[in-house]
Amino acid sequence: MNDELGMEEVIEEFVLESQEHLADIENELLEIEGAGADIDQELVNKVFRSVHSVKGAAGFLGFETLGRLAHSMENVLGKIRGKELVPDPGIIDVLLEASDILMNMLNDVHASNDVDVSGHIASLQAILDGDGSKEEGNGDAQEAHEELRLLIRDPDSGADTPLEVDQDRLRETRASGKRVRALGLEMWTFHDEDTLSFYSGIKKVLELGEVLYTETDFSGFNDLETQVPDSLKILAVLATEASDERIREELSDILLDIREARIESKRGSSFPEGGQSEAEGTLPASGSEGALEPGETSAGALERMESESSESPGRDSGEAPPLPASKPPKGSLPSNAAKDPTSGPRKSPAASSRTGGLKPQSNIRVSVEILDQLMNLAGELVLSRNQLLQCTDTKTDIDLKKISARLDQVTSDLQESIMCTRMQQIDQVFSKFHRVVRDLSGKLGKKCRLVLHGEDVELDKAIIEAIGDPLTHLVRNSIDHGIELPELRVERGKDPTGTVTLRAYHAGGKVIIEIEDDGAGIDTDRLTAKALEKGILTQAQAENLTNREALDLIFHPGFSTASKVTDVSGRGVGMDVVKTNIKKLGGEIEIRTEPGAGTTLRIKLPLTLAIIASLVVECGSDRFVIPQESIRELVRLSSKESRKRLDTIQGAAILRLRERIIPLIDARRALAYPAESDAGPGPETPEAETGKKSAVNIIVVETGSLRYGLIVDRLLEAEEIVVKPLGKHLGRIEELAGATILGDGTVALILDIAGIAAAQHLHLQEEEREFQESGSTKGDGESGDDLLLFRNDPTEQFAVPLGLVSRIDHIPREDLKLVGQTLLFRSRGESVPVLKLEDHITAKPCPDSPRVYIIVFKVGDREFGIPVHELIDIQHSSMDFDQTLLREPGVLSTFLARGMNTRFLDVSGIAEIARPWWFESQDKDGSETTRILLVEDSNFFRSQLTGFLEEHGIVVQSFEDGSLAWEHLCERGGDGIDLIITDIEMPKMDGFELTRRIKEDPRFSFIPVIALTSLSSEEDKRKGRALGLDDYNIKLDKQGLLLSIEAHRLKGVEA
Amino acid sequence: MNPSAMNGTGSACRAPSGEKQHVSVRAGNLLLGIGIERIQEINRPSKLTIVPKSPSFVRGVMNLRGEVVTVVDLNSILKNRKTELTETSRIIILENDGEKTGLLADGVGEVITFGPERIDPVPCHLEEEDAGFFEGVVQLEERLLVLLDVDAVLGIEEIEAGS
Repeated sequence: MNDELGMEEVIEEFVLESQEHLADIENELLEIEGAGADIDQELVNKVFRSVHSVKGAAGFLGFETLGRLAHSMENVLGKIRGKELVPDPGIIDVLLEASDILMNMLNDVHASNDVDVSGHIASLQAILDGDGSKEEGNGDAQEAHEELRLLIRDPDSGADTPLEVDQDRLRETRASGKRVRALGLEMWTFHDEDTLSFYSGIKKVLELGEVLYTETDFSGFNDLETQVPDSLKILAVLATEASDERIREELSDILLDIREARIESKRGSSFPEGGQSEAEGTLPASGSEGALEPGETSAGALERMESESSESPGRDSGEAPPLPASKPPKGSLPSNAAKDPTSGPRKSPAASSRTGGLKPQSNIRVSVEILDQLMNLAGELVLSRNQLLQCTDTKTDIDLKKISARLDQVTSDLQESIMCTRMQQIDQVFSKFHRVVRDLSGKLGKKCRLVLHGEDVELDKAIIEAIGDPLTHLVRNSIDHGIELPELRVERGKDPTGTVTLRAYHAGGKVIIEIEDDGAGIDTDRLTAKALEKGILTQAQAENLTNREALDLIFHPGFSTASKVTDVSGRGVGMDVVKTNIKKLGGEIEIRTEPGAGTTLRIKLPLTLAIIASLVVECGSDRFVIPQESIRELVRLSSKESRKRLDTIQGAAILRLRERIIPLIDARRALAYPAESDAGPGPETPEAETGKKSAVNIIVVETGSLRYGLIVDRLLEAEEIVVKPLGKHLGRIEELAGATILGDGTVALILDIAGIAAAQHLHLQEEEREFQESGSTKGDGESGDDLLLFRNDPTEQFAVPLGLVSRIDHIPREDLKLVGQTLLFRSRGESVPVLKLEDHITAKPCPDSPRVYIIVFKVGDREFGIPVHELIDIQHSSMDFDQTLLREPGVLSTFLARGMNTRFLDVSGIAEIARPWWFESQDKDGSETTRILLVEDSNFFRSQLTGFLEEHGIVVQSFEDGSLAWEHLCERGGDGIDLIITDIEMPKMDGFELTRRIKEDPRFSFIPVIALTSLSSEEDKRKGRALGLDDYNIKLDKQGLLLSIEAHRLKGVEA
Repeated sequence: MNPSAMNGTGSACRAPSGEKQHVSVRAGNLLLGIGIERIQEINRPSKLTIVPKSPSFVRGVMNLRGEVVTVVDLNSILKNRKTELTETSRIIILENDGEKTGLLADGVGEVITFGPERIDPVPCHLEEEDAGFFEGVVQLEERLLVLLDVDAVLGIEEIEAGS
């Protein structure tokens, strides 16, 4: 009766709403259990109402089994609400199981009538039978055998029709003293703003009272040839306390008529209905009607109803319903729309005037499919926008530029908003663990409580859906393997009740989920022994295992610590599967344990799967994408450098990076591209590279605790990408994690960093992961520099040397003025040119906020500003960067600061890119070669400066500290040295000491000495000048240094 | 919400007499028929991105209005040779298991309508290993139309990709 065409949507609505009603029932029941006799009326009432409305609606739609089960649950809940029953774990168990079944039935609602619920109903009945209200039951005992029936009266003939209704319900109703009324209803199978939907119609009826019986005429839906009718006729018998007037008022949109109905004994003795005002007493049942079979009779009742409504003369006029007794207030019912050609097919005018009752909804249900589609379309829009922007870039039309800028902004906002629709609270996943913890600890004889933190943290829907299973496994593990039995806990001086804590929070642009238990912890010796036993490790390997590696054994495929596979955490799923699943989500899992005190599993997840920051690289003339979060560092080696730094150990290519040895994988080889030269891929034979390529690009990536370098042909740009899945034919390619569509519309494949390592059989290195960020102080007295960190886009962090910053202004955006081609702002009475970072390096624009920071730099004798959205921090750094050389012009290096990949900007380089003419005059015209002694302890600065000075035709000899430079001077004399540039803070001999010696020694005193400092204090300057220092220069102000060199070289020559 | 929109989907492309429409597709010297209801759209080959380490019959992936669609090469599957891209080459977008897949063919011809009574079993002279991809043959005036079992063709990954 319920799967006909046209009803599907109504049924779907019912299922969705019922699922919503029941979504929290588990936790609510557990809460009720927790409260025990101290009942939270409101809570019990809420559960009661949820079950009640499921029951009612199920009845209307012909899902009788669902209805019966819900009814039994409702009875028990009613007793709890009435304090006739104290909810103990036994009762709650039964209710929980019943609610599980209810949920299952809803999941496959069409098969629900075939589900056997008799056991559950019996259990629920047993609770009712066994409760304290036995006397009441006994009081009804004599009636229990008495058969009751429900009669409805035909208003025309006055004849009564009996209806088949559950005896218990009739008895209950009779005892309640409610009025019984039969309602003829007509409901719409579609709805628009003027009509009530079928489902909301049902709900209105349910609000009025208890529905004893419903019958829906689905006949119009069986015939595929005719159009599906727009409305359904329903007969519903209601036990209610509401007056007929109220019923008419409430149901005015859907009510056809109200008929008398009553409950009486089958033996013929009649019972007066409580509270009935009219037609008191009983109407003698007509013998013939009473003898009819229930099926026939009810159908007959409907038929009559049908004929009444369609034959009614008042229909068309919109007035005068046929029966005086059931006269609706006024106006017609929007009935017969499908059958009556004169009335509109959709809505009757009368209906539209009466819809004040529909409240505007602030939330609506949207199918995920539509959201995904929207997401896709937004992606397309972004693409079109990018193409448009590329077009308008070459145009000079100001209006067009304005429009495209606006479009740009709107598109970004749109994409962001759509992203937001995908975000859901993690509570959805967390809350189901109350039940898991309760059931499992009960089963294992353990005592355990669950503590939740951060339930409101939001994650992408796809992640929420996918994280459930791994988390369940981990929580089960914590209870099964972690939490000890109560006796043991007491013995160990712990609370007999263990605690499992689930915690979610944001950190560094990711969501962290922690599963913490205060159980026994993990015995790494046992893990190792187990691994030996299983042949996962050799004896030699086991002996050399670090603690961390031993713990990681847990994630090894085929490893399980339980001595036998229990049905609790065994279930054929190992931690390796958990780890794989989390990795698939772009997440990571870490484990920490303290024997005797507990274990914490830490899962790091991206906020969303849909959009990730990435780096586009080129390999074999194709573009590939690497997620930024697995990138630790970009290393670019010149041909000269690569000879020094690349090597092979036992045939495996490695990179030497800051005293560490990092395994290398050539992306070409990993992706089965032909090697670029016949001599084979780069790393093994670095020499082969040199002739063809100026440099080797290495991306240092990290996956779990493994770090390796990936050699690619070229680094292209950073891009936010939307991750798209690969089809089933390509799903098994280990090296690929998915695909994306780049700005120009081509598909690029996303590299799976972990997959590539696995495919290339790269194994965990014997290296402890270095948590220390390279941006932090080393504390061994080495000189360093202060860096200012800032961001324009939350995904991109930059650093500039504080020494070059002359000031920072916070100005309203409108103070930035475009004069000709130049952006200017007025500061201290001067116009300062402003260079937007995104115009000169690959960077995201500064967002359009009302105020903006301008970092004003002084380079050479020029000042300029860079607009910045957010200042993050000032960090002292040892500046111990690798000479990773240029990733792109304008960037000196990249490093990790505050958990983010940070680009260290070449401020003077940017100025030179933006305003080359500022510095033209400084280029030497090759008159005479300048020779300089450079003393600088930082490798990074030394190589930076050497490179820069050599570019300007200066011959540089460099030394790591003052004493080495001094030795050199003493040995070789000062001839031919035009200038000495020295750092101040250096080990062994600092810049002051070196200057003092030079200036005191007549052999050298004529050589000008320029000091390099990061942030010079006046005190230092005085001291320096007293010693004879000729000039000070800020580190990395390259143009300033050139000016200074020029000035002092000449001075030196004159001297 | 319109009840009239709830009609089944499959019936629309069925002619009243039970006749079915097939699009004729060319792969080398074979003329293949694909049920029109299986075809989402037909495109000229656009830029394909080659997928490293993919099975040999995968030609690459394409951007179909924001969706990444795998393109398999019909000639690779049936004839063990790569389809050469020409003016007539087409990519037929099919749906299988809720996933769109593109089928690269040498060309697409007219729509042919015939009833089930005209379908004959696959004759044995068709190469044995390919027979699994065919559902039957229809004798046209001039030549033979071989009906392609789309699900078998698209399901090929189970056989080969795993190896």
